[in-house]
Amino acid sequence: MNDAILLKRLKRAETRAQLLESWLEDKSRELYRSHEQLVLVNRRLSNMVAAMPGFVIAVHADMHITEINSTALQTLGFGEADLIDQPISRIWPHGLDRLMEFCLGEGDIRSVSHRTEEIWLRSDGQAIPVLVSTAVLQPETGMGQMGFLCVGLDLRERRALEIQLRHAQKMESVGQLAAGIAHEINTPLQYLSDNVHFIQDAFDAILEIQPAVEQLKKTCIDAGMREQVGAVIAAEAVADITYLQEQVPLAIHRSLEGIDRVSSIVAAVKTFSRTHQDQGAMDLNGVIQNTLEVARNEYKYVADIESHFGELPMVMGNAGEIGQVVLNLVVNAAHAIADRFGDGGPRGKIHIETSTQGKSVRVAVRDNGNGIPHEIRHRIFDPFFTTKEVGRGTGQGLTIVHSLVVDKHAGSVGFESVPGEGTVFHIDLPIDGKPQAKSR
Amino acid sequence: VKGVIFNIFEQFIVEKWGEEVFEDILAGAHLDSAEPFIGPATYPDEQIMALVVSASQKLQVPPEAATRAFGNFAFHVLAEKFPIFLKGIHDPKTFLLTVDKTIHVEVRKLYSGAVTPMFTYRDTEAQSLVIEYRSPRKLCPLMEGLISGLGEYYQSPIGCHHDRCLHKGDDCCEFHLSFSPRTHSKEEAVL
Repeated sequence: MNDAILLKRLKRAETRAQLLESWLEDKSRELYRSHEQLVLVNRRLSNMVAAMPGFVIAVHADMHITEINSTALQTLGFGEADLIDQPISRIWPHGLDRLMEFCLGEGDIRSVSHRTEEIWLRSDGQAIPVLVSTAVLQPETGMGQMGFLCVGLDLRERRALEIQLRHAQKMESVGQLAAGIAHEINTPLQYLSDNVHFIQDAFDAILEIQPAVEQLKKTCIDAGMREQVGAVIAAEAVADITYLQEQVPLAIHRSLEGIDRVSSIVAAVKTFSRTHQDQGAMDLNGVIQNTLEVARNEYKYVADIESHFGELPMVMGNAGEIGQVVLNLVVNAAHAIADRFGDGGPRGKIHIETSTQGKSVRVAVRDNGNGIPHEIRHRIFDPFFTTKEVGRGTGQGLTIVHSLVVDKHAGSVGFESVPGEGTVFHIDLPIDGKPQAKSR
Repeated sequence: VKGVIFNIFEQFIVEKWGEEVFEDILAGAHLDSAEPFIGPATYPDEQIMALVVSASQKLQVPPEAATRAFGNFAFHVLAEKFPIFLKGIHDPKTFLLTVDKTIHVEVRKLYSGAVTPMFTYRDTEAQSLVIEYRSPRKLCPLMEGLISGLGEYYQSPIGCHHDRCLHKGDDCCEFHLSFSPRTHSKEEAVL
């Protein structure tokens, strides 16, 4: 090879080295920027995985856990060191079988398993229902190691909510049934009332002729006709007419009182079940009295009601909805009192007070129950939040109170509570009702 | 065309005919730029074609034959540079079936802007395979050379019948390949 060619090739090799060096620098910069972006993305993804309300668990092909997010650790009661490199069966007893079934049964490795409900185990051995979906982890090129990504959702809260919802639906049905029964009772109650009033009037009339009968008997006896009226006097003695004259009016009076009581309950139930009525001027004190009638069974065994009804103007609102608000507060108050004093303990007190506060009216429902613990105060208006056992509370009572007062009536709800001493709820309602949206 | 192909071309000419011949071929191609080719860069298709034409003139062989010989040589160089694509593959047919979905995908990831041909497979019999080749570059002789290099690599000659052809106005080149019954792979031979 001559020198000229050698020189040319050497020069070209030097240029190639310079070009490659320059290219490498460019690529290094690109790589650095890509790395920075990857770090950012990785950080975001890590934060997302950590913040997810569900479990995220990576499992190696040998069925050992390689990654687990904090939600899973907290819910399952483990530390990270307890589970990393441990078999998946430690927390998911059927995990190995399920993952193998999924792997063998799916043709496409990129598919995600159907979501199935599984039982997982906490560190204390408690079994919890978990909704699990699984994806196979495998790089697209077929290189690298295979594994699984399992995403799970703790179903315990959902199960509790479903039970509460079923209970709420049952209570709604019971309410509708009660309204129907109230309607059916009303008519016979009406003629029962009419007939007892008739009997009262008729007996009063009979009593009015009794002095004349006595006078007649006396005249007959004075005229020497004792023998002729003897049968009447004997019959009166047998019938104990004097006793009847005293007791029958009392019995009729008590019957009428009972009928009035039943009538007022039926009327209250009917009023209460009218849920779709529009806003109108309502007698708030009357609505509260009506509600107390309906709720009597809820509190009569545990508490006495004290009420102080202030002078109130007519308030614009939906009487049925406000009745529901007061009912929920009274029922809660009764439960709080029962929780504090228990069976056979002293009776509690529920104090209801109404007053005018400028352009609003205020209803205060105060009880001397067990109060609301500090740690749950921020949650008491949350839907389905309850501290009561299943069947006693649906967790919707105060949510409904808040919704009806704040959303439907543009009012406000507040409360003060001293644990162990009692709670007072304040409901403020604008006298003029919720401002209506102006139509064009 | 990626610079790595130009470099393999240079390596091919230098190994077979020497540096002076390569310099003559390079000079005969009358390329616009005198800059050397670097592997990761991309160069116009016309430049490789100009080099192939110049080589065929210099070596006095038809351009198709030159391209075919280059393809054969290139396979061995590529197999040495990128052994990962052959790892775990013990016969040429299995390898060919990975080209479109694995190797071309990786090439496009590795070399930004790389344009790879498109393969469609018809795999109906164990010892044969039909590949439909589509590429705007119409480098079917290169494909033939690569296939023969593949057969040499696995020490298992591949029968190649190039039927329909882009150069004849067909919509693709059709390679009917027949494989010898498997003997042993290069990896297995080493072991």
